[in-house]
Amino acid sequence: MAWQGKILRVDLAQGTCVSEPLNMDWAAKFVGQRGLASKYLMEEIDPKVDPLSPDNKLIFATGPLTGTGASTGGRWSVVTKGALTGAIACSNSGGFFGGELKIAGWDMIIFEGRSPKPVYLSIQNDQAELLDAEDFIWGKTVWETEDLVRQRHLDNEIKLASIGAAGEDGVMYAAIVNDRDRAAGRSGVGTVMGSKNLKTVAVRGTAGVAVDDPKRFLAAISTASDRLNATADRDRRAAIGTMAMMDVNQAWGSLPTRNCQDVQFEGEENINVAAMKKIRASDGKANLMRNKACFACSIGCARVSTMDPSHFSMKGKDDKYTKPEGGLEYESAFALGPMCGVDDIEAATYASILCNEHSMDPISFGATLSAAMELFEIGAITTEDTGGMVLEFGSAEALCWAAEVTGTVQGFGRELGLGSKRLCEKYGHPELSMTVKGQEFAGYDPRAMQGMGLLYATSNRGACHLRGAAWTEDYTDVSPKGRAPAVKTAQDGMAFYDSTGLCMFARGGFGDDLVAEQMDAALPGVWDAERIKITGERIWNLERQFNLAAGFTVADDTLPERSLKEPAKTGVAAGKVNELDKMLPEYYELRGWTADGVPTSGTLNRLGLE
Amino acid sequence: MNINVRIISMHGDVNSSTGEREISGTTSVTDLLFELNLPPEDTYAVLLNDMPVSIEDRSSTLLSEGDNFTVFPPIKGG
Repeated sequence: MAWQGKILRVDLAQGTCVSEPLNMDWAAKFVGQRGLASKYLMEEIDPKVDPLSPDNKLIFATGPLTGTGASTGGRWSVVTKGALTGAIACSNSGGFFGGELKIAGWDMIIFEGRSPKPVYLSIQNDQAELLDAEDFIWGKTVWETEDLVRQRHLDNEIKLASIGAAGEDGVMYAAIVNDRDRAAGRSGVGTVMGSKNLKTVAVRGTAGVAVDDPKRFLAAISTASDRLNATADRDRRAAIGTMAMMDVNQAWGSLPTRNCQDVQFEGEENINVAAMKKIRASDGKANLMRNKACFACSIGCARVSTMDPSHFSMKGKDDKYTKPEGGLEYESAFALGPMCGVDDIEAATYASILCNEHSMDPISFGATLSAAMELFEIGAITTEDTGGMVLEFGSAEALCWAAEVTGTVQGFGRELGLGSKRLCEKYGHPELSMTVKGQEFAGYDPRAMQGMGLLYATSNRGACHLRGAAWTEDYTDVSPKGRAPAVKTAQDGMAFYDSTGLCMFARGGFGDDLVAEQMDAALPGVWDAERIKITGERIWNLERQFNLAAGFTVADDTLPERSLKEPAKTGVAAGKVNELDKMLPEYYELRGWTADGVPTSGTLNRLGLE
Repeated sequence: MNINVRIISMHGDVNSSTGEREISGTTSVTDLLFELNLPPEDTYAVLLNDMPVSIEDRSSTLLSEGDNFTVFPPIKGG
């Protein structure tokens, strides 16, 4: 019935793997993936727990539509208390791992405790066991891990979700990387995985997924797929991917540059879509080779690139990095490019590749490096700290070096591994950290995009551009007007959608009616617009409850000083700051929260959250 | 007179094109969009010298020598 009705509970301390029934009452109320895993987390851990203690839990969760054949229905999420933030963490990933896990017969895996020695989890349909990772894959890169496990188990179809050195060794924003170059990226979910001595989850699934009304479901996904495939947006994502945002943000004046000191980047034309497609003199190829799709996806937004073999970063590496690898997406490109003042597209590609190989979030890495560069600029960090490297804005050499030492967690890389907030605090300038709740900004400056500022300030997992942005409003004018209702509606909508197993890049193409139709055909019960709306709001408020219990307060719903007090220098918001104080009170009221950002008992009752 | 026109397009291979364009002295934003022959859905956002020009104002906003004009379609990030 879309849900498999089964959770795999893995006790890493005891070394046991036990199947248990999915709580169907919770599934009906919280759907799957983000919503359902958040409910389990809320019920099963103390929100005040140290994220890296054995008492934190790590949940891998699919959605009801994952693995059903619905277009883009391959998503899965990692839910935990984030190492980077101490807030609820939910990182959504694509690739093929999620589909494989669901088809193996599992809705969710819940990891508890900490293994005394490095282990990995091997799943083949309903068989699951923890196996020794020491002297095998512990210490290996993400890619080596994939190859070695497939070799040992004699099966090239195994899908893996792994950590590299960054996850093993405490980089606070370590990601979990699956299928070589897809990631559950943000909030340090990989750091939590490493703290549990869990190296990888290797899954092979052939059991299948059933749905409630197969005939109706097949018709629904066919119609939805046709509608999606006819959209211009789908074509854009296939052809140029998310990189399209670079030129738009440059024009609008919302491109975070040099740790947000600027909002437009003079080197932008060397690191945009056109630059990715430009033929190189050295090898006659472009950086961008082609696109790539995830499980059941007809969009294919992922990039596949090849490094320029003559680039300085390739020296001494033979041909290790010149094969086709996952290339720059917008978020990695902005963070490894303009945010650090770097306009070398090959250097940014190299750094992005290392983020996949060693399991780091490129957004947090780039934003942390940019903070370090500003600290260096003002003399708070010196070459004595870095061991000689001149950490200047614009230095491609510094970028590549930083990616190497942070990915492999050596020397100054350990400092960069702290994340922007801890790094800036340590070196005496907390105000230079472009973070909210400890998580670094994404590729949109909140001065030119007022609604994005509200979203960063109120996202339950820290600064995030995916949680529900007011895209239409924010690219129409620079004003706080209308942002609160737009962001609230978008947040509730995404909270539901993130729980279905579908990819957010299909959401617009499907339309709300066809999302509802696919859910209604696949799942028992009635899934209509009304139910979808309230379910999303319920999930959002549940996450908020977790954070409040973890110790977050209204004071944490804010933005860095730079966004609130330093006017943008150029672009549509020249001379303006983010007017969060004009949006937040209205937002709290619309949410049915007190002026201190606490859900009222009336709101909680209405949503069925006690 | 000459203005600088940047078209950010989401179609196929071309992401954006930039170039100088000669226009008459009484061209409005609406006139220019018509001349550029862009499909309506691609003219969502217009920037004139870093100022957004709302849809209501386009027919009454005239262009001047040396203006920087940008147009792009609706887009959501990810």
